[in-house]
Amino acid sequence: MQFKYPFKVIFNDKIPMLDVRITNKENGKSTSYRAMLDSGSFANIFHSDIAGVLGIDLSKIKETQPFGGVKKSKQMKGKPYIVELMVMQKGNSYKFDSYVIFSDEISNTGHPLLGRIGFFDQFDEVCFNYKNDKFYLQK
Amino acid sequence: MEMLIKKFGGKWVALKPDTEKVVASGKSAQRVYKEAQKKGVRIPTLFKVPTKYIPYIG
Repeated sequence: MQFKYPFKVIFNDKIPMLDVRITNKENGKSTSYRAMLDSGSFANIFHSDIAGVLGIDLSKIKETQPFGGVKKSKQMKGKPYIVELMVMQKGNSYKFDSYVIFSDEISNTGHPLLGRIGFFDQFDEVCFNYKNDKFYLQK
Repeated sequence: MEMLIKKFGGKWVALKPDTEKVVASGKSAQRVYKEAQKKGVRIPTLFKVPTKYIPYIG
């Protein structure tokens, strides 16, 4: 099964973004969310506001997950949670349990990230074809 | 995408899934989600529009 997407183009920058369905398995609440594929990110990082939409009370989660970026002085943090993610296209879908860090420290100029743990590790191949303006998820 | 940044930078938008069609926008993700549902989109795509475009390195 293959899912194929066009890059989102911003000022000639081709960004691998796609819509994923997120479900809180505790209560069945779902939303779709637009996020960026990033093999440089160790895990999925989503805005904490999305937890609110899904009825997840982050204040009840004791564990905190620190994470960093390229800026040497900045360490960020978020709350980990297991949700169900689903990718869909043309009648095909694939869903899986996924580790997500909900954080309110995503930059105002940044994007939520689909990273290695909880996304890349769920597919056999993730391919970027810049010449054809497409990226693919193979399962 | 440039249009989204220009018109909705810094806000949450609810999109018709897999499109760029904005059905609701605002500062609260939960309110935007509910407004989109009222307009008939059962499960909208939420997107926090960046305030401006800065090339990403990560």
